[in-house]
Amino acid sequence: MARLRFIAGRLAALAVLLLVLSLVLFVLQEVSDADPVASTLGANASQEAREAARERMGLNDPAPERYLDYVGGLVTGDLGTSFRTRHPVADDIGTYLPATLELVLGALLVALVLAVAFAVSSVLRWRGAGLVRGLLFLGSTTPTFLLGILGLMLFYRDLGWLPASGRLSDRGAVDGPTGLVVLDALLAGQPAVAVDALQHLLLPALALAVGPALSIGRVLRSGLVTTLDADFVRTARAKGLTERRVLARHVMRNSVNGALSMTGLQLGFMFAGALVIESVFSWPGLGSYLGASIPVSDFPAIAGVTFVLGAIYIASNTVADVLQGAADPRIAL
Amino acid sequence: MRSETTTRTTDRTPAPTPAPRRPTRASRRRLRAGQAGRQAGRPAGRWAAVAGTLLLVGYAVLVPLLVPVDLDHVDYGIGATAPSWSHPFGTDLAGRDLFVRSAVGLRISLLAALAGALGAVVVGTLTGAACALLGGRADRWGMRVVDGVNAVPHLLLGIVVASVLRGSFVTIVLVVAVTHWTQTARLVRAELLALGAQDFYRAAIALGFTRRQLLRHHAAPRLAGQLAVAFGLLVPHAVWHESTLTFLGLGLPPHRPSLGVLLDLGQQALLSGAWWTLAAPAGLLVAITVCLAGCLVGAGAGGGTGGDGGHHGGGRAGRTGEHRA
Repeated sequence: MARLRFIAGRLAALAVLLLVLSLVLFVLQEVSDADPVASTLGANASQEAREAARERMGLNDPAPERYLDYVGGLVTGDLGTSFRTRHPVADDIGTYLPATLELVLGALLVALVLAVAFAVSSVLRWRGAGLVRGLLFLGSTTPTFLLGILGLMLFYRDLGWLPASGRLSDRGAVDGPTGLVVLDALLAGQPAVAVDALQHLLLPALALAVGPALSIGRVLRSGLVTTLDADFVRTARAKGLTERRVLARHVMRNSVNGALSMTGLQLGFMFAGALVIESVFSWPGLGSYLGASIPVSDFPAIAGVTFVLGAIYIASNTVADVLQGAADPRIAL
Repeated sequence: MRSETTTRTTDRTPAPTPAPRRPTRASRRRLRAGQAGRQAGRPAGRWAAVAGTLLLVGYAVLVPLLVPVDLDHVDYGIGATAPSWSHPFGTDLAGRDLFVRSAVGLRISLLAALAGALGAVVVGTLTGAACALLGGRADRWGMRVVDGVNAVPHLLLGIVVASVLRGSFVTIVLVVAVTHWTQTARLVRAELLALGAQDFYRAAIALGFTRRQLLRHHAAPRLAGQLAVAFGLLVPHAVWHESTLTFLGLGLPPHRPSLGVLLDLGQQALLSGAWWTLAAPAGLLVAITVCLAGCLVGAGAGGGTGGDGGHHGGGRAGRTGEHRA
């Protein structure tokens, strides 16, 4: 019961935050000098045509009414129509989101691996732990886009190990249900294409993962340090478990809590960072879409991308909270 | 909260001062590591960071003054020359000297970062103080706004705000301020609420201190250290934001060579093999971030809290309203 109430509370908070986000975007739209009429009709439209368009688009209504319209549209999945592509923004986002999703999921995976390596190696004082720590620290002080460029210089230009841009060498080699090229290629039984996609994914994902990896790794390390001294760990050792088993079964599970909520936070930052990384690697995702929309003041597109990414961020934090409650029932109380 | 636990462990030994809890093995290890760090590595590292910061700031301020070069003077004859004695950082594709241009870039980036961080701290302090002092509904709504702003990744919010306002120096400053005031607001609110619950503060109210005296003798000293650290931590972060936004084409216009502009140009020049066009601004960016952050290592613990842990616990306990006197 308590858990249900906890989850209900988190969901209510999620709804409120989404409303606040929509309000922020609406206000920004109000203060921006972008004129939707000029963007749709062009600069040479007659005065009457403009006035008619204003009336048709509902721009003459009072602001609260327009806000309600906007929220009503959001609820039904209507994000407006892009001035640039003339398509519904929701459709455009549907086209570009899978690429961003694949990039961020890849980066999340890399970040988790690096974070665990960082935390475990420094707690257990493995050889080379200092090197991992130093590299991660140096990487995390560097802006993501710069990491991407430096990575390109090293692995593409100098070593020639990895490709520089795009998701695949052969555009449109696969077309699958998930939109994630690596998965689609595997589902279609084309391992060579999947490997190619992975090679394209590796460098941007790595650049995106370094900062979050350090944040998650630090939290995980402090969790590990605390748990390693707990009585139940001594008991586990005393009853003769191997060190590996003690770590995997007892220490890890009791230390992941803080790291989990940090992962939720970092996931959101990764979606924002992906926008930047995409412009370095010509990755055809939401960042490229946003990058093309900004110079022409395509506000529906800008607001749509922001709303969707913000919603993903809020939702992932809610999921992290609920997961935390599942991993540690004390949190719900 | 902390005082409760300390008193509980001492009920068998009625000592005048409560003995601290017996340190666990973990905390002992951390203690030892901390002491070792403070004795050996930290001060040296911190001094190096301070020296590095001074050096970089000196470079940014003095070089443009001392080397009389027309920044926009284009000379394709010496375009893309590698670093040499006459051009220590090389020249870019248009033949502009990168040693001077990078210094100017660093100066612009630092100025934008300082202004942005200052704006964020000021807005945060005012909002946090207003929430704590007004209490009640204003406090609840203020904190909802903070949650709302925090609910959007700040880089994303920054991109949207910058795309609405169009790129300029003021835009960068505004974006940093608008997206980063929330931490300071939380901090100030929690500190003030914790202060309101303290006995000495209530005693001061009972003694008839005026508001100004309360602010000057109790609130300001408590907040000053914290705010300084918050500001110091924001500056390198703001440098980072300036370069990212400018790199995306949302920040400073190309004729103001900030680090972001230089990095953008450097990336374009990479294709023709001129690695130094990227190396100079990239190295400076990393160096200034590391040095600025390094100056503050350990400062968060030493600065100003007066050894009062649990901000949040204190904050909750302090919601009694007496501090409003």
